[in-house]
Amino acid sequence: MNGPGGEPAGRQVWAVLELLDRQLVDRDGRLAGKIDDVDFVVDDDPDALPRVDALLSGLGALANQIGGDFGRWLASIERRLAARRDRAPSRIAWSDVKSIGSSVELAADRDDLDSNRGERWVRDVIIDKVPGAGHEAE
Amino acid sequence: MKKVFGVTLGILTAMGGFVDIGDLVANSATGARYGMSLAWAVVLGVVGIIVFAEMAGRVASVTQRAVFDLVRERLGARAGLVNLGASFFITVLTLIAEVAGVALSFQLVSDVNYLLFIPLVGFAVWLVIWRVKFTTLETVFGLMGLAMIVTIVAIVQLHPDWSSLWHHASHPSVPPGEGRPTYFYFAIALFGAAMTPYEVFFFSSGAVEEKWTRSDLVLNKANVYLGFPLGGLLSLSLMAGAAVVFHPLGVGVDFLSQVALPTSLALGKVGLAFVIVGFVACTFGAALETALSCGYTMSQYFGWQWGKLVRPREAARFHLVVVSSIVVAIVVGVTAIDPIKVTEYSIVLSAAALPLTYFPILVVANDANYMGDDVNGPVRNAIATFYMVLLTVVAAATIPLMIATKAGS
Repeated sequence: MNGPGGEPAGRQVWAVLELLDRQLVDRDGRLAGKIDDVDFVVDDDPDALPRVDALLSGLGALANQIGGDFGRWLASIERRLAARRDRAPSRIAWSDVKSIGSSVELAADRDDLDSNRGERWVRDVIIDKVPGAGHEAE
Repeated sequence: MKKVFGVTLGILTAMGGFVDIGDLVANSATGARYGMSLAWAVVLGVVGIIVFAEMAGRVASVTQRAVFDLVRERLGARAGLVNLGASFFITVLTLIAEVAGVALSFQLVSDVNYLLFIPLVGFAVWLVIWRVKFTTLETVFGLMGLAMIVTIVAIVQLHPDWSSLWHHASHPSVPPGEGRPTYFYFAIALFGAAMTPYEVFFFSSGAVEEKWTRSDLVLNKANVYLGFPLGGLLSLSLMAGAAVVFHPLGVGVDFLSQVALPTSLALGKVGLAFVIVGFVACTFGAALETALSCGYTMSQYFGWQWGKLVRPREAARFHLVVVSSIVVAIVVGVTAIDPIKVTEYSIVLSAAALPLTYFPILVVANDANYMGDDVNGPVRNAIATFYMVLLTVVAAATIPLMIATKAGS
């Protein structure tokens, strides 16, 4: 498996323990959602371990994790909100991962992530309209 | 010196911040109905919140993770979501009760119907969260909450029969003519009032936001070991006041004005003024904490940016959740739903929901990989595990008791 930043030696991770449900932090230290699912690719080589291809984040991926009727309902809301017809949840490329610790740090800006559309929409359409939204809180 | 000041301030704010509408109502109502014979439930609740908050504060200081961050990680997406649903619902319910409590306190001073105050109080809660610094907020409401000490002065002034109060408190029994289920239902209400979950959501999120580290563990301990017991003392003095004034007459406590009566009987108008300032501070402070906790729990589950230290536009969804919760509290509040009843339900359901958030914190506090040397020691762990069992029993008993006793009526 290719490690963060595409290190040639690669790194083995326990996807469920080290990745799933962990906090994503962007390059500026801002919280950028959770890892709601992990996408693997399997190489042709039958002995190779599956490689992490992308981290999935956002309501669509979360809905798949939750499953059942409630999960399907969440997924339908997400599709409606995102005005998308496809069922694919938002992906964060493995090459964008900088380090894995108690949280997972990304090399990307959270504003460039597809999974943070909701945050941007709420910010631009609602919060920014309120006086004082940009003031220094402390 | 600055550190000493920080510790003192922490203790004072923990003391003032411990008491909220739930404690005001539950302690007075049980004091009126059962005298001091349920004082043990307050003590059990105070020790419980100490154990819970100390672990949550220690975990937050060592791992920089707040409660719902860990709930999601330890329980996963599915069980975590069920947990979020229950905890969020109860926190909104508590917010409704606190906002109504502030409005009722204003009604006591102005004679203007409290329903008119509810939208104003809701707006003020939002404005303070939107604009005021965290430390200012804690200091002002914590210190104003100390006005509640007047209830201790009042109980001394009432010259009660101390030995009889002590005898009832130390030899608890179900009073004649009262059913056992109702007695235990009220015990759960007191327990839930002392151990309301938002206190821990707020405390641990505050610790993460103020970037507490291992070196702040002393501060954590001082807040928890001194502030909460002193807050518990205020609760017991409210109970004793009601036990002295209402219990002999067989009068029940159904209004906030009755909570203030023992103090105004003992100390007149000055006493009443102090106790009302105390009510406003405690309920408004708790309204801030519950509104923030609505944002904390949901944001931490979904991984959104949260907190008061970043610009509101950097934590857009967090602020949207906070403001939506306040709007819900206003809308429900102005329907003239009985605020005392809402309070009672919120504390009883709080007790039922406690294991959901207590369990993941207990697990992490025991995880040496996470906690290193600050993992639970054997004594602390024995007490913490005892509480896990107790909370589970309480949670299992709450709903059946609620139905059997028709919510204590």
